[in-house]
Amino acid sequence: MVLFIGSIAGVILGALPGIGSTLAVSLLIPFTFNLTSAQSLLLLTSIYSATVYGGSISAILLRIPGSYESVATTFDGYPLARQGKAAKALGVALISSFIGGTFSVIVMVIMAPQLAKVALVFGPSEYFALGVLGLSVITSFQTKSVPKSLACAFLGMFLGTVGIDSITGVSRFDFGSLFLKNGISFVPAIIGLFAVGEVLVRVQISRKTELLIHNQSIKSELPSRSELKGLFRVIFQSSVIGTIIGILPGVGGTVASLLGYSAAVRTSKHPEKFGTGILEGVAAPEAANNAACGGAMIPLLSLGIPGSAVTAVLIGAFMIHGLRPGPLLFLNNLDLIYVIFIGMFLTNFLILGFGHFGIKPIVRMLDVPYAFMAPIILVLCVVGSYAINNNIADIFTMLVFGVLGYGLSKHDYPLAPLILGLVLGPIIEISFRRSIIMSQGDLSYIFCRPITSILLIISLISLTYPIIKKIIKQKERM
Amino acid sequence: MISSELLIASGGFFVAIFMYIIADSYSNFSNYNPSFWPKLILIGMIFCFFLIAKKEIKQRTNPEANPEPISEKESGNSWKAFIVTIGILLAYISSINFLGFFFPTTIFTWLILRILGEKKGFRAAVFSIVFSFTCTIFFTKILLVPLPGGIGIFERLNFLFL
Repeated sequence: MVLFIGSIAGVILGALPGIGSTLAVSLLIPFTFNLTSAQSLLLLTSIYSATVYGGSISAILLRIPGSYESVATTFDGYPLARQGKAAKALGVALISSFIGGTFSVIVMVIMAPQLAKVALVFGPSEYFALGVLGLSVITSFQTKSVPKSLACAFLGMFLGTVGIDSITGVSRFDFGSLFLKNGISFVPAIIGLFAVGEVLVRVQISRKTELLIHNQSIKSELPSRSELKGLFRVIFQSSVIGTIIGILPGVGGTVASLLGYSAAVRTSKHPEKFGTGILEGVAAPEAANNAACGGAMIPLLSLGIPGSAVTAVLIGAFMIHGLRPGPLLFLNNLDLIYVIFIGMFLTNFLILGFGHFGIKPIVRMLDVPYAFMAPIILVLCVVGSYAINNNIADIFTMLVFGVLGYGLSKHDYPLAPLILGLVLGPIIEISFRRSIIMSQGDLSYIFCRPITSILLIISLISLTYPIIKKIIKQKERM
Repeated sequence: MISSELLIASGGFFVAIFMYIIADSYSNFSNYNPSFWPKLILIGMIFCFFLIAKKEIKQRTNPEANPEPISEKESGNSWKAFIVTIGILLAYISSINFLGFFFPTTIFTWLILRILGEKKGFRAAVFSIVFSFTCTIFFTKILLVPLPGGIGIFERLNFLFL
């Protein structure tokens, strides 16, 4: 039942422009309080998977990607819709999403337990290095300015230091406030940043935005056997690319779909047809972005390290239920892990069914004006923030972060590094200081351990590579 | 005139310096002092905001790299709607502790609908009442999520809906 609700809600929320997977998951976290941990994680992971597919509906019919991951689907999806083949495009997107999603879940089931076994021998210094690795990807985010990405990550890490220091008991940056002594509430912060901030941005431009629904065909037409045979190579190739990209921290579904699309162009016999409206152009990004979902869950579940904004938000869901993703979860809550595996597997089948038979009402919902959407989202944000501790102060935290999210978004400061900094900052700090305590102040203890040093070298490469690449490009232009 | 971009960067720069001074006061607490990590982060923040501000100043002094500002009308931006929304949201959040969930939510929803261009006042009113009522029932009865009940007479009035 939970999976069914999650899949339907995910497809609808994903299809609505302006509600991406991060917003959808962060908005619904507080409503999982009274569910069991298994139910709430099933609900949120199914919403995560389903929103990625849902984004393709508005990408094909409106040329507005419902979620960021579907941006590449607009390249061929919308031209197909204009040619009167919207039903076929929706069908190809659906079947590609299903295959990509199922493929990545199978890889997740095989890989995550193996990775968790390795991670069981990790000490504080390895966790410090893993945290640094998770943060090192911030320069890879699609941003116009590396300093802005770094500033946001530092801001997130700084906010993570507010409250009582768990090692010395010193209260930091509380300014005498009892509320700040407990630290910044994570869930109201993410709701504010992603949901309220997004609404405020759209409120400012909403009257100029009109949805242009292409009403010629409100149904999904699955590809025939021969069409599927022709698309199989592209779908399989994109599923592999998407899963690998999903595993890599910080890259995410958007890059996966773009890479899947570009790989399909490069390996195609007729690359000139891409962009004019061909089925391969829809199949490639859709298989890749759905495959990235399962891939992104691998480091989250096995190492406890989020690689993207959505998985960082999902950590909040684990925390609400007193769970910490990572290798110990495999030891202490193996049943929960298998529930997530089975749930994500079944979600793909539910998306397939709902995407095929329930497309009509979804498309009708795309016609709902934003004037009606905005108060619904804002009220849900208020209730969600209040429900955590029954505390009005949490709603004010949400509002402050909403205005912050609005200000940052308006000036091209990416929000994902801020959330990653907020989640990973405390992990890095505590692990680093524990390592220092264990080694009695000897820094070589941290940097000479093999796994730690390898992870730190990878982090350094990951952090500096995009910057070096940018500098080389600038020099080439000169 | 200072651009908003420069305002954010310089604001971030000075706030980071102020926080650094505060963090410095934690140094005396213990050997594994709690100031090390925040100070390290704040140095990074100061450096980044300095770079952003420097780039912005450079762009403003170079007329070729400084495009003409787009007017509010051209960009489709509505600052009025934004500021009013923030004000209403603030009033809504401040009032729900005293007035409870149902009444402020109804008024808030109606106001936001009108601000965002819903011309039919009656349709907005019906939607606001139905939405607030559905939310109240859904959260309190189905999801068992507690909502602010209000105080005094409002608590009794809200009780009628719960």
